[in-house]
Amino acid sequence: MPALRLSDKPKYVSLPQIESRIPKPEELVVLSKPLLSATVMVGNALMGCTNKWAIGGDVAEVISGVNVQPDHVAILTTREGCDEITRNLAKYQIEPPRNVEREIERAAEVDLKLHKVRIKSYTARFDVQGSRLDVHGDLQIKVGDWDWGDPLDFEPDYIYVVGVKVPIVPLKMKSELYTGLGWMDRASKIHEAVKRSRHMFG
Amino acid sequence: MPTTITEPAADVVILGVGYMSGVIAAELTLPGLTYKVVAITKGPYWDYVNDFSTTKYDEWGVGLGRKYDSPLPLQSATIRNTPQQFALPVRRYTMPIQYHALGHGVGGAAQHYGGTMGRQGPWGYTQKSSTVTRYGQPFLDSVNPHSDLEDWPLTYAQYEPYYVEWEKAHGLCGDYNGSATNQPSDTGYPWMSQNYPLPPSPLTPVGQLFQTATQALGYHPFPHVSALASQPYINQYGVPVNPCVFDGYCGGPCDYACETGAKANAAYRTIPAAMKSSNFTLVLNSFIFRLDTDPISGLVTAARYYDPQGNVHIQPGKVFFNGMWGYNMIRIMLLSGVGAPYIWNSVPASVSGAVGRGLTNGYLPYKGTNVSGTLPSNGGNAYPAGNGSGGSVDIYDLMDDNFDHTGLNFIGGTEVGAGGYPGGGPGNITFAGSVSSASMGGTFKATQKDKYLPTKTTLSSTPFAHDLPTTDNYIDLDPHYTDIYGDPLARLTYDWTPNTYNGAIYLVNKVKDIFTRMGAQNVTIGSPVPPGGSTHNDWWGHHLRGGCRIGQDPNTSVWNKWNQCWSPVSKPVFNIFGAGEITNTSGDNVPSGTHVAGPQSYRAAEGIKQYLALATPGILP
Amino acid sequence: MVDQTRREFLKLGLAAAASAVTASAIEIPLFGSQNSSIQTQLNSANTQLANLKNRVNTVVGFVSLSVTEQSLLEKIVETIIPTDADPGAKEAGVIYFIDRQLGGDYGQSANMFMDGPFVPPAQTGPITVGTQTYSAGSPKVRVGAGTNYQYPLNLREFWRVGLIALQAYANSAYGGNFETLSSANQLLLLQDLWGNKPTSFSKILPSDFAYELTFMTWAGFLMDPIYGGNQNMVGWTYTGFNGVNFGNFYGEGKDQKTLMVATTPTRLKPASLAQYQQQASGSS
Repeated sequence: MPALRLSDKPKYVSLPQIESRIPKPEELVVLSKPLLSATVMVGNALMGCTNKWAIGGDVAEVISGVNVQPDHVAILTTREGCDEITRNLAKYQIEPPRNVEREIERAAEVDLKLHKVRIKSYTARFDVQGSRLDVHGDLQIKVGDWDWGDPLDFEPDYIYVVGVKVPIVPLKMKSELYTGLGWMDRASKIHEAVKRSRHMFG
Repeated sequence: MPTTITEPAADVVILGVGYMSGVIAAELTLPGLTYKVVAITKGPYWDYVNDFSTTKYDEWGVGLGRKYDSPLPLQSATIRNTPQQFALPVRRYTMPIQYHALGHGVGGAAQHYGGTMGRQGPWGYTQKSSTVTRYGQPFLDSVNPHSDLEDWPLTYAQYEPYYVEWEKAHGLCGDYNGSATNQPSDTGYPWMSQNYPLPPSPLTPVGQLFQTATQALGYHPFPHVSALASQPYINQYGVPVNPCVFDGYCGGPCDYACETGAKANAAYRTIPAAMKSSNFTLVLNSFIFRLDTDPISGLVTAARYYDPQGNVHIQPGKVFFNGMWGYNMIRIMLLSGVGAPYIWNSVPASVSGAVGRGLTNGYLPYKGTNVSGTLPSNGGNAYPAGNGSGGSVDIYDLMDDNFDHTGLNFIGGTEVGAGGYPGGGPGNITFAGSVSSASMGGTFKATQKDKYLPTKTTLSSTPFAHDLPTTDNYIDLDPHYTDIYGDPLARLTYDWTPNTYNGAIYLVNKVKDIFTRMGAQNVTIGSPVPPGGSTHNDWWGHHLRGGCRIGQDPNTSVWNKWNQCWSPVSKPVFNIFGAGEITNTSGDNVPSGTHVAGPQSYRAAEGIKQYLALATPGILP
Repeated sequence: MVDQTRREFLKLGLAAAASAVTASAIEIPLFGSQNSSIQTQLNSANTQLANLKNRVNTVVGFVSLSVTEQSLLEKIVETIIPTDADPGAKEAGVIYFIDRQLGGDYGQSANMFMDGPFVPPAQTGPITVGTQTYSAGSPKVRVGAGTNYQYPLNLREFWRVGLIALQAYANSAYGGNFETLSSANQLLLLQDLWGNKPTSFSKILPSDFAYELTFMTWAGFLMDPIYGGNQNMVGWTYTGFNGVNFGNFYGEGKDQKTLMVATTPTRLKPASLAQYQQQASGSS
């Protein structure tokens, strides 16, 4: 049966066209497959952990809808937690747990002055199917020549990563940390994501 | 002066960007794949904060005006009950009677639905052979005169892995309490190899009452399965999902868009992943009006669409995916001569063709037999807060062949549930639209006072058995009316099949028992609604199913077991795939059948990849 | 006639007065023996003006309804939702909702499919349309369904025609204009329309018009005030509906996740879409 003849009705549409813009790829928040797989793997492997642990770093932010580009997975936990995780992820281990202290790349901006930032933790490193995983036990932060801060402590939020319930560092704590360090760009990205997650109030 | 533009050729051209198309887009642009994929939609891209958050709380504009949905002057449809009637065009959106609007833009109709999901159980895929085996062919003939029921080409067990992918991709919420290898199920619920990726949202007190009552009666309750994320989630494509905020302007008749993206649809689950790929192109505000075919091979060579200025664009491709909604899936194929059009004949044995065949419906409003009762100590705000499909509990025991139909006059049945949140959307516009001669004057006015603050709950249900395909219900092209571009509208010829209202009479008594067990008072069954009559045009496209069946026989179905077209004109046009039409479906009081179409989209994605890898293009083995 | 002139003057005057920040009372020259009745009317006009001034979102003024339509429709909507101990259509400004809709997309049938041919539902067969004959006529459809309205009129015209027909019926069946009938007869007349009692009604089905009147009256009572009706949210207050107040709009400290699983109702003061947007832009 032949296709129908095209009619002679005028082809323009006199309807109001809804103006819309296609977002650019960099505006969309999507976690890369390798890091997602690593997070699922870790979530499954660590389900029975008795010590408190949570996914932190940029991965925690991306899976909460914040527009950042992580390149590795980070876990925050206690010292005992780091040992327990090391036992559970033994086959992925690259570096065993040890105390590490270092200066991080980005400085803090407080009172219009730049301060170097150092962190120290009891940390181990893993390679999970090609993705780097750093586990930090009792992470502490030192801004300039101020005292070392207390080991980071928090109650985790939970997110279902493709069906696996995974603890993550609460966005609220990260937002406070960024604000304290004067990294307002990072704080505002978090606020943007939080705003998008609920209607304007309540 | 409109011009014609030929676009760069693609490997995969996706028609429409709704639920099923989103899956194809995400699957064909996975990291490591190099296919060039183009997806075309007649509407815009929706950002849920920018576009919905300030203006969605608007019953008049959203619930009736359908301001986010497909404009009727662009395209409508015509409806009639029998082939001997003139079909009337749907001229206006109304609420609630005969309500519906096509979706518009990325996400499609699922931008505004209620999010009900679930699975079709094993019986649904073998309805014809199971019925004939257990009850005999004469039974099927008497239950469904002019029956056009056919089995699916695959079994539930074969679709099961695709259900898992579908559920993970969209973050569906539920809790399967059964055994992972329970076949056939002794709970009525189809067995699952993995539980739903998200837990259900909190049950309501009424839902809990239903759960207790049904357990006491020997049934097997499950929390209602919903596509409205109950928790923060991230799917297998790495797309993060916000949880539902329970604002109550959600599903139900009015169908609100979701301002947090918690309501699963392609725009916020699969398309963002595709858009990260440089191989994916999204074309907006473009109305597909034809598929070009090669005069010798018959294969589809390109999709043609109008842009907003009226220019014609030709988009060539190797393989095409028909992801258009409902009757539009059928319409584009009829307009383009792809597949054998269904030709009705009053003698069922003489009907022919498959495109347009077997129109069924998933919703039976305002008819059937109602049962209601009052729970005296369960009140609560009747305002909208909650969402469109959470909070309730269902049983599947009264569905499929989960009970013996010997001596009855219908097959199958329905999902029965209670306790949903009052989140189906505000009731003011549905109330205003349902007025009658009784809705006037002071005495009536007084019935509306404080109606949103009830101190007791009314339980109400109008169960009916599922609709079965017959040769008399079908889709073709209307000879009188056209869309804004001059092409004929789809014409829907449809009336309820006896299976629906015969099942209603039986089922309503079962629901009465449940309500009574729940402690409801004054449980009353209304008078049965006889077949025929003015209410038979109260439905329309809203929960339409069928018209483009998947099956085992190319003469009676359009899609084969790979969701690949095999319906012959002179030769089959096999480079077009589709998912979303479910002619032979079981269940269910309400759903459009999205949940049954979903796994087919994963099947189609697999089929498309296999097709592109064939040395000689053809029907997949 | 004095009454007619007064009514017209009132409407024009009030429209002008509303645009002024303060409006003084209407002054009318006094004529000898008509003193007391004019004074009564003057008092009533001043009271009406004072009431209108007190309205939030005052929308007094018409864009579409003619003077005779205003006076007729006012009484129709007040019959459908009367004022009793609680506000009715009058206080809610239902007539302004309908007026705005008639003057906008609704009246223009902007989102309707308006191509011909126009074939009414429920035609017994055979009928011929173009070159095709249909032995079973056209389907029966319920009023309020999307295939029910098959008139070659946009909705503004439909209302114009319907109101004229209604007034003609009031005179022929009840002996006078609708506004002059007793309230009992006003309600009876509307029931007559639902029951298709009038034998001639400008070629539209009376029950179709009755549906539109009743539907739009209730919509005018219950839709968001941004559309001109439900003024001061009196409709929502009457039904106990909360609009966009999910439990904490005015700082009540409630939360919809608790309210949606409660077994006793909580009355909440309603909030409107405009209030929501004001609060949203303030907090961002």
